[in-house]
Amino acid sequence: MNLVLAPDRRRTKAEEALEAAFRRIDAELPDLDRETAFARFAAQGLPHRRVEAYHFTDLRSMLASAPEPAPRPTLDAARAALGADVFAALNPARAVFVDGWFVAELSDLTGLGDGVTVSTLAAAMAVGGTVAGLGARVAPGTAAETDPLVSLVCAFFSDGLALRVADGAKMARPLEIRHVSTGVSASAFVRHLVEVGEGASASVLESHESPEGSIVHAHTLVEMTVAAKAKLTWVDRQRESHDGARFSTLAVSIGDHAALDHTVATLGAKIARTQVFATLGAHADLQTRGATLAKGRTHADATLVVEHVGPGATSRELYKSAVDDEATSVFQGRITVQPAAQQTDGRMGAHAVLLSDRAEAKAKPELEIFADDVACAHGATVAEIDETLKFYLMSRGIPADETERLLIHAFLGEVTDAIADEGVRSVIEGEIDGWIDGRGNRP
Amino acid sequence: MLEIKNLHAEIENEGREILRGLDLQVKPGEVHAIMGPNGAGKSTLSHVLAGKPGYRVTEGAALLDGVDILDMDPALRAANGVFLAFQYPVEIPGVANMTFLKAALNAQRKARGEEEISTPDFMRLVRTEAGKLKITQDMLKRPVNVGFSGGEKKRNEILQMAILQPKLCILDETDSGLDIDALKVVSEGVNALRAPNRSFIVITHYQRLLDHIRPDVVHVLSKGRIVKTGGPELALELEAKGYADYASEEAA
Repeated sequence: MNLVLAPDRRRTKAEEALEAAFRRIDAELPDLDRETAFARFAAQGLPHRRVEAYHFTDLRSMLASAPEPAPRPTLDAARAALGADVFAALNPARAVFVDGWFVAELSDLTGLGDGVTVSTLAAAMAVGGTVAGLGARVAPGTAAETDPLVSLVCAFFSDGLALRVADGAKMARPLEIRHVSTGVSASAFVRHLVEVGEGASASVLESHESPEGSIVHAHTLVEMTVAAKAKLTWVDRQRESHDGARFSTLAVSIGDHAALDHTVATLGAKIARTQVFATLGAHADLQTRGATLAKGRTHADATLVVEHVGPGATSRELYKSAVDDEATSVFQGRITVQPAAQQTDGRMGAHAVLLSDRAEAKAKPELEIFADDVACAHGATVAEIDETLKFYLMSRGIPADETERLLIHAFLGEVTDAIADEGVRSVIEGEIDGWIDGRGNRP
Repeated sequence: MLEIKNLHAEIENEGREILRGLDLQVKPGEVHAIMGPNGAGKSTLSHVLAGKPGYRVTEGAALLDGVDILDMDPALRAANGVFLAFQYPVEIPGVANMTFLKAALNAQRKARGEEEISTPDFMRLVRTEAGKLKITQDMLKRPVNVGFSGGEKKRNEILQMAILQPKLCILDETDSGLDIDALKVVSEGVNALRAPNRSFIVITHYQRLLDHIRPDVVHVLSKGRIVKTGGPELALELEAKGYADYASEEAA
């Protein structure tokens, strides 16, 4: 297929690399859906600062290159890539992805309980299946569908999980989806489909990591449907190489009286962008919270698009970032309340603490309200560590560095305290404390 | 214990001199009250001794057991035995009172080359001292001073003092914002800490506090210097006559 680009613009090196890579994939395995997705991406190219949703995260200038999509690793290489599992203490079932490919030999999908089925996209497609046939898909006409990062995953995905929890089923233990990298410079594209049936409940722990020094561009798209009265808890822990890129998108539709509880912790990557596109039905409940820790010359972006469609739904968004050195954190959050979504209760907060003179934080909270009986609020702050608090702690004998440690931990505590599961909370707190302790080590 | 010699200090950004050659000697075990009109420099003195940022010492020294503390950072001063009970104790969301107390005690012990306190010993210590000050378990679990009433915050200051066992306690208008009952509890807490090797500087506007915490020496601070020194009777005299004789022109 041909790349359609605006005629007055030269393609960047990264765009050329993506085009070449797609031509190779498409020649091997022609697929209309992938072609449609790539065409959508190619029409605009990599988003830049004049594209409003990417104003603060100009991928056209930030992505110097786009590494080749990674081939399926050998089992030995995959096994060697697998380090310690941060969620091990929670005894989860485990789906392991290495360089974007599911590795059955390293996974354990037992004990999830009746009504829980897990399959993989690569396996389904190998026998002629389609993504659409596997269930959830990005809703047409939404912000998610036209997002360039979403299009890239839809064009390039190598593999992914299809998780289905039947109506009324309860997952017997959490499912961890681990994404690791063999450390080669490569791109990985993973697409997960999640369907939680009516009245069902599920808990998923997502984990991403890549070895320091590797230039891995890791893309993940999770499309989920949480049916009426269902409950889904989702935790996403991201710890990529400080030379790599992490692009995560969650596109979720939350049904009537259903609930999604979502936590994301971003602790690495030179460029990170986490996107949540959520649509809420009547009396649905969305809780999403994020902790972003950025140091060195990294850039971490959290972008939320929350759409209240049905009446009486609640959404809570709380994102906090600690930004050190010359790093930048970005928060963009938009809550839209549709005309039918009366009695919406939405509250969004974005707060950043700057730990150095050259750190930056940008926040853009937005409310778009088309109903007249709603309670919506947003707040954003950017501050340095409070000298008054610091002096108070030091006056009791706590040294300056320990004082900062306590105060950063306390600042992010508002996010971690809201994690209901004690085991998950202590893992995320441990990750955050590890980051704080390692602040002196410049990436 | 403490010897302040010709102390001059100014507000950093304004260059305005607040302390103008202050001399003070406090012997071990003594309680000194410092009184004076608004703007005399009482709070500045407590801040400069504790090392609060925003002040510049231009001259003089403050020797604690012969060592000048003015070059030390606030944490090191604390490890050396300086304690400031704040006029307005700070709220610290997200740091549990208990965590804070333990971090402070262990940091001081570490700085002095002592071993960390064991958790059971620490719990026992906190329970005993908190009980004396009518500080509930709930207040210990909550973030430092968050949601505490004025009286609870001041009691929490005295609890910290009781646990950290400083050599030199500086009480900066500890009576402000306290009702009679709270004043009694706080004063009893302070009195229980009086010891031959521990000294107190009690800064106050009012004689009332000194009915509860009996000073050995009373000083009048005016325009950044000690202008009069006497016994407890001096406080009563000030209460009767006011500060008219020592009025200050500038606010601190």
